[in-house]
Amino acid sequence: MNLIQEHNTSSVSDSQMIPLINVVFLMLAFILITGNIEKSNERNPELQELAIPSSTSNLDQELHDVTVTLDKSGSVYIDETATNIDTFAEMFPLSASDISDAQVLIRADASVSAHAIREVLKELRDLGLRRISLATVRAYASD
Amino acid sequence: MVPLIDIVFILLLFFILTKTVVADKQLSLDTSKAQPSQQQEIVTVWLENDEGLLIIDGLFVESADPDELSWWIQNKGIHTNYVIDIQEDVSTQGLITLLDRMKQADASNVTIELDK
Repeated sequence: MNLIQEHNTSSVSDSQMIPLINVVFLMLAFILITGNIEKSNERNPELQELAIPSSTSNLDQELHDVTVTLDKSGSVYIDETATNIDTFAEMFPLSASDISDAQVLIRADASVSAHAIREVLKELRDLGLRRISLATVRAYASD
Repeated sequence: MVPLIDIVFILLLFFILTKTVVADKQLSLDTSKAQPSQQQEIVTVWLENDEGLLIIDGLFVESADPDELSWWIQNKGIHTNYVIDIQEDVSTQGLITLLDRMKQADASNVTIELDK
């Protein structure tokens, strides 16, 4: 008799778990659909605080070979290595043979002077890079 | 237990329907030097500030007014080479906003002046 009672209790407990599992599955699906997987910049916490400029551009971010970052203070990083505009070409990690097909992404804080972006673009162009993109987040046109 | 799960479902639906999905996007930049053909002229667009004040042909143009910018682009030609010359006070956001507005005004050849 005791055995039967224990079996019934276990069955009821299992059936009560099913909605909870459904919720967990739904939340998982939600996170998978809307979440972004992004490379972490653990070594340079300042790079995580960038306010990426908004744009109405619909182009999804492509895979890139090199990331150039300009933080709020205008400091320049190639991937995660701090550099400056004078040593930019020397610090650039790609060899001349790899540069022609390389894709470079510039992640700049929205408040950084456009002149700083121009200097970086000039360096990249002089290195022979042609596939250059600016990281943005989606903005919706007001009209 | 069941009412609690109902509330969680409703909360979940609320977040799904109201959440702004922030997806990483990119804006491709053209850094090549403008090389016009015989039919195409180069028009220098001076970007004066973050509000989008432009100087085209010595005249002030408010790019924030889409009709005004569109009129200028249509007048100069949508296939004309527009070269943006950035002034000191302009931020990255200001530059990107102008690139967006020129694209919306159907300007197809827009480059950034680098050789200054």
